[in-house]
Amino acid sequence: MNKLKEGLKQCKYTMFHPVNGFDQVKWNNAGSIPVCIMILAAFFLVNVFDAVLTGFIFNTNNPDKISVPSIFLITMGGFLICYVANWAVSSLMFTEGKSRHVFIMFCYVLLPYTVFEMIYIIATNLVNAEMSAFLDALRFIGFLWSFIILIFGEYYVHQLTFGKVILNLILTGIGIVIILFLLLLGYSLVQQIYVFIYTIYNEIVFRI
Amino acid sequence: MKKNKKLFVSLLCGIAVLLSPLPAKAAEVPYQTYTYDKWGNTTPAPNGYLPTRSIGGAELGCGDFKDASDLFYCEARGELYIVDSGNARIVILDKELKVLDEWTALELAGGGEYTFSNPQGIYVSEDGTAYIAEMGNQEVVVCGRDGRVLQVLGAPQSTLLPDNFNYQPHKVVVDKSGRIYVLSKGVYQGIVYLEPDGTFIKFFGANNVEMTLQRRIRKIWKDILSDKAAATMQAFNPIEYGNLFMGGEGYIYAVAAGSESGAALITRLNPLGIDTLPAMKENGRNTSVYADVAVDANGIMTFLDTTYGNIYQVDENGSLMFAFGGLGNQVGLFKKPVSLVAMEDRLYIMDADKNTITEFELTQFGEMVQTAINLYNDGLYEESIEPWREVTQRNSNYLLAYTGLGKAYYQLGRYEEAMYYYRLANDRSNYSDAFKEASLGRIRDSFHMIVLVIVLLIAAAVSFRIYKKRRKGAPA
Repeated sequence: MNKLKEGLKQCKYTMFHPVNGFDQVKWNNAGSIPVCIMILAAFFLVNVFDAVLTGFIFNTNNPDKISVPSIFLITMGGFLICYVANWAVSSLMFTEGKSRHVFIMFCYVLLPYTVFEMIYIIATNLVNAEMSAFLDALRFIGFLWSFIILIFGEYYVHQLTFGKVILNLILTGIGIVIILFLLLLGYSLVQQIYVFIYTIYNEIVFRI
Repeated sequence: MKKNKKLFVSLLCGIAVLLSPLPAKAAEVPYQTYTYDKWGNTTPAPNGYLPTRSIGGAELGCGDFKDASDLFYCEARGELYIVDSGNARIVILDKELKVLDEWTALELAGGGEYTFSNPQGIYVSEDGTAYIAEMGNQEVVVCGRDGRVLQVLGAPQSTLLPDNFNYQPHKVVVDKSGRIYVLSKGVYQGIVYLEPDGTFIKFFGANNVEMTLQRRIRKIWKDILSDKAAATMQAFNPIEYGNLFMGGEGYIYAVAAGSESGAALITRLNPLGIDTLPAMKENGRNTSVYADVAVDANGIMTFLDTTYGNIYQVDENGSLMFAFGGLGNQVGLFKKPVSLVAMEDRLYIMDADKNTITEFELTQFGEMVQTAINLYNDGLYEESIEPWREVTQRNSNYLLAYTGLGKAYYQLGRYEEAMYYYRLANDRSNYSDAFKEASLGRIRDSFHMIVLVIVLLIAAAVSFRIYKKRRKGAPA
């Protein structure tokens, strides 16, 4: 319990002091995995709320077409792919980030976005369409904050120069595309094997 | 024996009942009327119009039509004009569709005859002066109701016109002051705008050039290539107009002869030639071509889609009221619909392939919808609620009714109810307005409470501070 409290404290500290915060993560083994999982859960929930609880004026989703499993797949799968791609790219670039550090960094990155999105969802239920500019600004702040955390996280976790951080991010983007491509290939391969086996099974069944 | 007799009699009665003509059966139509639901999907709806009959020329007693191209209804005179291009004649009917007149030739002022070769369009002003677009003779003929030619307006002469200008007038309308708007085939610069005596004023209300993605790419090439090479590429021309309608308030409704993206299919031009129609939800499909449009005094517009044989009726804000019709042989379907007129609560559609006029009559449901819309537009918000309610009882998927109810309640200042109905109609911008008013009202109502709470909070904070200070100041 005490450990969890400490983890939360460290997380909050990192949001406002990313330099020292990520330094602690890197060298003092600070930051806790349970807290990160909590952030991930909140991120998933906020995406569900986004689809369901956003005020009517701002919510253009068709309620019949909202699917929580698919939201789960997109958010968690997306996170996993980003994490794996960044870790893989960093390993190829011989950086110093360990997988634990990269995981903590990405979870911390999600936090500002999640919090501001929550505020946005509440606000959409209280204001009319004329305020949409302010709401957009609110969301933008969340994105910006997340981005800043990402830059500092990369900087300290991987111990890179600023130019290399940008390069790392671009390569991560390419890595994500490659992973998606491989997933697609794997998916179609599995499907073809399935169809092949199913056909053979059918042929056998018809002849017996 | 007696029992058998009884059985025989009852059997006979049964047969008699079966054979007797059935009392008025429910009207069946060969199409499914539809509107859109919240998410833009088409949903079946009760019929707004029913086809009552299909009338050929022979039935009217004037001989069959052939490639007829235009219908025109002169409201002030109550006369229906049919331009029968294939037979080179104009047929004039009254409201009950009785033949009043048939012009195969007109009388020239100096004696002699003016013969038609390929009349394509007609406009008749209130005093009965007819303007006939004669494409075969490349001129517009003006004649009186008695069939005497008043004026023959040949191709306009002006330095503003391009050298290769080919005058092919096929549709014509005239405004209140007698100025003439002529559509000429193949002219994309706009509507040919003439003085009453036929002198050219200018091109009126030119359409925009439609920039599709393909064209944008071609534009980039044009910028790169030399001028000489670029000149050989296809030019970007504005969309040509296909038909005109003179609205009651001096607006000219023009439909495009074709559009690649389905945009700008219909425009409402004000006297300056600027399109004033609010952006409409897309009706029909991308390849739709509107052949004709009719607009009634309340701004309800009816379009004829010649590609799919559909008829769309929308209110003045562009929300779909009914869509019906289709392609086929049955009465109520079309093969090549070319022209449409609205006469009171009936619609007449000319089919150039079937050579018939199909009559549609407004149903009770359609009448209810129109009544409600008209009441609202006249500012009778409270009165429009009842008809809208009835409409929703007949068709709970009718979004227009919910929007109508929302608007009515909004105008009455009952914002909570307005919000409820706007939400049902999925109308976000109007909902937002109602929501704003409702929350403003709520704040106004509870303003004294808000002030009280703030004052109490401040008082509590101040007293807490004083209390804390005293404790600190007190000797330990």
